[in-house]
Amino acid sequence: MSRLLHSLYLIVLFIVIIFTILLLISPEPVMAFEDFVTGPFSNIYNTGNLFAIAAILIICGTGVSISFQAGLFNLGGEAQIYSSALVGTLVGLALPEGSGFFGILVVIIISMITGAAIATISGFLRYRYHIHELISSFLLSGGLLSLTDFLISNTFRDSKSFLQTTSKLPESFYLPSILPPSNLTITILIACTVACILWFWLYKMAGGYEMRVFGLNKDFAEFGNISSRRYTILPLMINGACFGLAGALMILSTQHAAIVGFSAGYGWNGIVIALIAANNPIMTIPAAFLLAWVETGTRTAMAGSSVSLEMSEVIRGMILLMITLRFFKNRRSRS
Amino acid sequence: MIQSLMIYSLPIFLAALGGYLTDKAGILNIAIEGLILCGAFITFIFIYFLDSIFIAVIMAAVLTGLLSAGFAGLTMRFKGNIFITGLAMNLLIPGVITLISKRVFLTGGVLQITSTIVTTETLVLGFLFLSCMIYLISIYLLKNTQAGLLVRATGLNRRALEVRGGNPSRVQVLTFLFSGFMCGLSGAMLTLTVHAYVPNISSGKGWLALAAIYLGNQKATGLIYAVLFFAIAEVLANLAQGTFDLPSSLFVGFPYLVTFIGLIIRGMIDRTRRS
Repeated sequence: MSRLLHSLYLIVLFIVIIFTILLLISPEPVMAFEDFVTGPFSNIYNTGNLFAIAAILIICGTGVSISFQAGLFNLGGEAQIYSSALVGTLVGLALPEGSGFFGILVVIIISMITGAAIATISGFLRYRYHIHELISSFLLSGGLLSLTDFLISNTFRDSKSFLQTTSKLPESFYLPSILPPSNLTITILIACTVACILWFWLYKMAGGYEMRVFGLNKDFAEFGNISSRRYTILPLMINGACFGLAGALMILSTQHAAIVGFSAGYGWNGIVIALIAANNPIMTIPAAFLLAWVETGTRTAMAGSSVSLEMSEVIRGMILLMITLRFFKNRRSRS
Repeated sequence: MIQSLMIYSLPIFLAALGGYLTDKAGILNIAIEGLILCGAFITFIFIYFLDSIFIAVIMAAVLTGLLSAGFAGLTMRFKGNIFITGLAMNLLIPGVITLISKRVFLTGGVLQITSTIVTTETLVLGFLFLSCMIYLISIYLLKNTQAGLLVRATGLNRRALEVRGGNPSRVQVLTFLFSGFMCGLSGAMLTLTVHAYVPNISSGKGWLALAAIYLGNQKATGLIYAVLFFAIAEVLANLAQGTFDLPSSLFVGFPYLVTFIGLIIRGMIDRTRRS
């Protein structure tokens, strides 16, 4: 019951925030609000895109939940998505044209390994040299982002394209789509599966239990003979692998090539999702839909009135602030 | 050369000094990046409407300080996680600035300052003087006074302070006030030296400031070394860019990578010392 009340409270709060912002920035707030709410569901194209965005957000959010549960802050999501997507794309381009399912699998795995490797560096540094992973992951990410930008726009640039992009992957690498005119592919299924698996691991298996204990109280974990090395490195590795997966899926389902800045913002959004979901992988699914709705809603409202794209940024920040500040009491007792 | 180095490193130094104090009080201010942006934008607003550099700088510092203290106070009042609310501030501030900018100045892009007449040299000298003064005074206060002791005690053992009847949360909020104040100055310097408010004008300087605290081994003198380190890295990057004719996009991330490597070396040194 309290849980239901909690989510109800969250939704009311959320609507109030959006309406207040619209009231402040739009000359006709009621119309903009209507566009905002109904826009994403007005046609198949918008709805499909909402699902497609949500799918990626679920994966990012789930990954971040894992590292948050272990008490680790991974701020390098941006580059873990972007750089690993580039590596995956390059490997995909090197494979024979009709690789099909096998090719898709290789791209996904390579991207996951790359993402995991990048994140693991921060975990290793945290464990061995006591360098705060919050700082190290951000710095590494900052460096890698510009390196990736450079590689896409110079070294691996497709000279025939007007965009700053690599060559396109052959069509056998495209994931099967679900709602044709939109960007939605089977990513949403993959995303829900990943969330479920990680939820199961986190709450039903010994490893997940140990990791949560480690996250809650490091001294107690040590007392219980829980390896602090494993649970400093593993959560970040899983988190990085999730970001890598998200990057690969974006390439395979919508972009089909690594374009400069194509994944910007998803790393931060992953953090927002994890926090809305209270670090529970299953709860990232509704949280991701909420945020995807804000994104597509802002876009449709933008078409109709003077709402600008920054609104989704502001709403996102507000949600994050409200949630962490715990303006509602139920959360306090649970954590 | 030295002037451009100052322009590059002073904003980092100012922000790092503020962050250093919050770190001493036990919680790092992660919102520095956003707060610098906030300071930069406020500076522009006051120059635009009041046409006075002096008032603009003061207001940027004070208002950013209040914002910083406000969010820290709220976080503590509601028992939130300061890292996460700090991240929220970082996400929120650029969006809010763009919204205001579009509403008031009808553009989300570059806002040029048209009126200022102060030369860059006076500006740099002024800020150099200001930051040296603040550095010396704040370090003196931290090391030698009752108030400084209170800050350090909060960072070392807040329980003990609570038992003695102190209020660690209030101390931390005050350090956040100071940190915001410094971010405001840092942002003001950015806007004034660029002669405009540019979206994302801080371009990661806040994060470098945070890294500088750790790079300097959480010591006051270390801060200076760390910022010097950044300055030298910047010079090297500029040199490399000039000599090898590489595209500038490659060097955007250079300071981050150098800092990253610096942190690793720092960690390695600490580790060998410990064993």
